[in-house]
Amino acid sequence: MRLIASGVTYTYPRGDHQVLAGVDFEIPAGTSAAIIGPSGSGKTTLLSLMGHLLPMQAGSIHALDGEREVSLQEAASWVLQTVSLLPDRTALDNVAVGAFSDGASRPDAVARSRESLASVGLAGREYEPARILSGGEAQRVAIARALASRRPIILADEPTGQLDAKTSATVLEAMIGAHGERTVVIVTHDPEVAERCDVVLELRDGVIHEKAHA
Amino acid sequence: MSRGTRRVWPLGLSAREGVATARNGRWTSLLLMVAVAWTVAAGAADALSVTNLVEGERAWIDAGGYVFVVTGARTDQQQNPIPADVCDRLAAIDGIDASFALTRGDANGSLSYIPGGRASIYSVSAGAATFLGVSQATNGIVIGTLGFANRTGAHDGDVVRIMQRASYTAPAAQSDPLTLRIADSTVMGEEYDGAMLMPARLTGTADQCYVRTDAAHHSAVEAALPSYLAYNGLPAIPNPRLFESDFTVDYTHAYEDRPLRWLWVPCAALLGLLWAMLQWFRRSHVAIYATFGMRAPSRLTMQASEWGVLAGLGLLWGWAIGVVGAVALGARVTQALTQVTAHALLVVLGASVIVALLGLRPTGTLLNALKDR
Repeated sequence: MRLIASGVTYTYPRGDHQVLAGVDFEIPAGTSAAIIGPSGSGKTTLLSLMGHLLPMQAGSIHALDGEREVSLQEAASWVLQTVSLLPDRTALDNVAVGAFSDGASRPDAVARSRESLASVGLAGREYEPARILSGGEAQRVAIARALASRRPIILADEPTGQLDAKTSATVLEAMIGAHGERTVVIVTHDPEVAERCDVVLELRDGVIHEKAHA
Repeated sequence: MSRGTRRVWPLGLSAREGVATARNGRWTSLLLMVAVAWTVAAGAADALSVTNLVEGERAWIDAGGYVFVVTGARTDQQQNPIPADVCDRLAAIDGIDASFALTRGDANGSLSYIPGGRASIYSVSAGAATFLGVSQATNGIVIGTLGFANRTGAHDGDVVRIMQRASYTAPAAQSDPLTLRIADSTVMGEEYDGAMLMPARLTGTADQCYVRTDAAHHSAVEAALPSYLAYNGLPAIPNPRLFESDFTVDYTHAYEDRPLRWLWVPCAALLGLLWAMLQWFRRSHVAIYATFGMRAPSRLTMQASEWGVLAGLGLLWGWAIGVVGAVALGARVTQALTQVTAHALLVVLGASVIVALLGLRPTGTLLNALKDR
């Protein structure tokens, strides 16, 4: 699914700081893109606008399935910087939320969830309550949840921020390794993560300054 | 990847998520169940208050509550009578339990085998037996009050002959054998204790008409009696046998006016507040489901299912505690069952309305909800 942004502008409601000042980009279908930039450059804001977590003020972001426009809100699954899990539910239950959102039956959701947990290195931890997982493990459960949803787009904000290098590689492989199946947009400070992506968008002073292809 | 997305949170699946949340909620679920149980069990207090009211009302009725003593109007320093036959027939009217006419006089008498034990004799219409709760006998009855029985040693069922005099100086005439019925005359007033009531065919007028009604018909009967028992076009005067000052409670409105009748309102509000606080703390959970496509109807179903499980278990638990507790503290079983059940249902229904309204409200900005954990 192709992502096209045009003239995206955003000013925080409290204050007059324009964090995005006419952002344009295009991410081809089935590719991975890293959004990089210094802290406060508007990376997370841009990602939130893409997933309709924030209301668009000016400009537009479209998701196109061929020539057909698809609702980004419904086509994207999320991995947030602040990990949100259901603490009293098991890791498997948390991941199954993603599968259920795609209309999976319960057996299918359980199978998908096990597969997704295994792909992020959490095989055998399915029935542990989310509240006892470490920060890194919780981060991987959130990634597995996004994978289990099988939505065509993944929007991820610092998905490897709490992971060591080895685990980070495993998780990235799970997210963007299935090349061509889904479009992945990752906000990151990690050059190694950016390097693994097909497209790198550098955000500075509210605009995309550099579009580098890895 | 060109496949379209299906965003499905069917209600059955949403309900299962709610039940799973209730099952896995540990302390949260326990807290909610305990809160429901204790707010439901609080209905025991209402059951006790109703039992006290019922017992108080019974004492009030036994003492003459809901009884009117109807007399004729006073004109020119003269007391008018009331129509005796009309008085006796009032019991046929809906809302009037019993009625009888009474005529005072100087008549007095004694039991033939206790010549010296004179007592006042009042003529009463046939309805007196029903009014005072005594049974008829084939040979006719004479009603002795408790004071009379205590003074003479006579017993209910004794067959007696009455030595009756029209006045203290008149010669005595012996009646045919009659069955003595002993009745508590408290309901008529202390002045009759120690007297005998002689049922007679009162076809003309009488001095007083005793009318017993109930709480539901009290006002209507009071309003109707003046015209029912009017004499020569003059409306009769219904006097309550007991005034409110005789008892500290107005039993005609005591059930409706009891403060604990509305106990369910703060209980339901408390549960609603607790649920609202829980949802506030869990707003990131709601946001998780929202980012995965859950919309308001499914969210409501999920939350209502969780609430339903916890409220249902809490209700059963609290109902059992409430009923057993109320009975243990002295409530009648009937009152314990009815009041605790009514209170429990109102509490849970009231709280459920709040739960539903909270479930339907907008969730706000998802980004904020996901960050505020």
